[in-house]
Amino acid sequence: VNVTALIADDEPLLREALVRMLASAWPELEIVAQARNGREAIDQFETHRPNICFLDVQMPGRSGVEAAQHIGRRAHLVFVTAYDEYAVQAFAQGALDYLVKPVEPARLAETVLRLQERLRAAQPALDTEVLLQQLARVLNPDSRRRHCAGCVPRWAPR
Amino acid sequence: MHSQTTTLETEVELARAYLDLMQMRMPDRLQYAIHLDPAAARLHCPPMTLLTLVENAVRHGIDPSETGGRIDVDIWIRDDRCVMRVKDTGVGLKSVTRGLGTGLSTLRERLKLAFGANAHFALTETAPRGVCAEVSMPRREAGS
Repeated sequence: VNVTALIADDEPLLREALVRMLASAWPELEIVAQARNGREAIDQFETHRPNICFLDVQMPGRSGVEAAQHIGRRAHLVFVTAYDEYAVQAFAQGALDYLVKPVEPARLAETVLRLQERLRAAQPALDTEVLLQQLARVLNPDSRRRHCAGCVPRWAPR
Repeated sequence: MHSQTTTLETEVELARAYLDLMQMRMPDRLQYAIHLDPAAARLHCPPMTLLTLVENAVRHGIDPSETGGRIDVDIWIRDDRCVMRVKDTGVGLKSVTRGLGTGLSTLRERLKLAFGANAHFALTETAPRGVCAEVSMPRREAGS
């Protein structure tokens, strides 16, 4: 079965770069749509229903986070961002992973593996609540305090 | 950039380099034009004046807009003064995001340091959408 993906980024150069990197890291993955903002990402998602969405967080008009809220658990979400403090929000939206720009091939390869594992296991997209709890534990191992958006270390889930 | 003064010619070069870079980022959303009156090219200007205005237009006007817009830079001499105008057709002042203010208040300070009360800066909203930033400063030859 073909695995399909959508890429949303307002910068065409970065979209092209991600397409190129994915072509080499995951040749079987079919990029079925590209979007320039959150609104287009939502439209394209509804049209193509891809398995995976790579969403830039900061886009003009509706953001990647808003697009993720709309898509919900209907696709595996990977946030792509220049700012790692968005990680908390990304996981709150049920993202499988997030990539910090500039995207490194080795880091993307990890993301690809993670996505392939989930698809192979036919697991649904991740659940918001569990992720938030995991994240809170990582950020505050000794307390049950809620996380704060400004103090997130560069961190990726395993 | 660390010097006390620069020429408008240098400021324009800097702004053009920045806008070229931004156009690479968003080729489908940004158009721009710069017109510098040749008579104003060698006039004195506090460093980063034009770049601050142009960066502001990109970050707060064009970047948040899905459709983008254009930026027009005009610099000319009016009587004994030099006028610098940066007009954009972006989202306007309503959608001011956090961060606006630092660049422009620093710009005001630099103008005050260079020209005292003799420099003016105004930011106005334009119809149907966008912002016009205008700086007016005394005509002063570089180095004088």
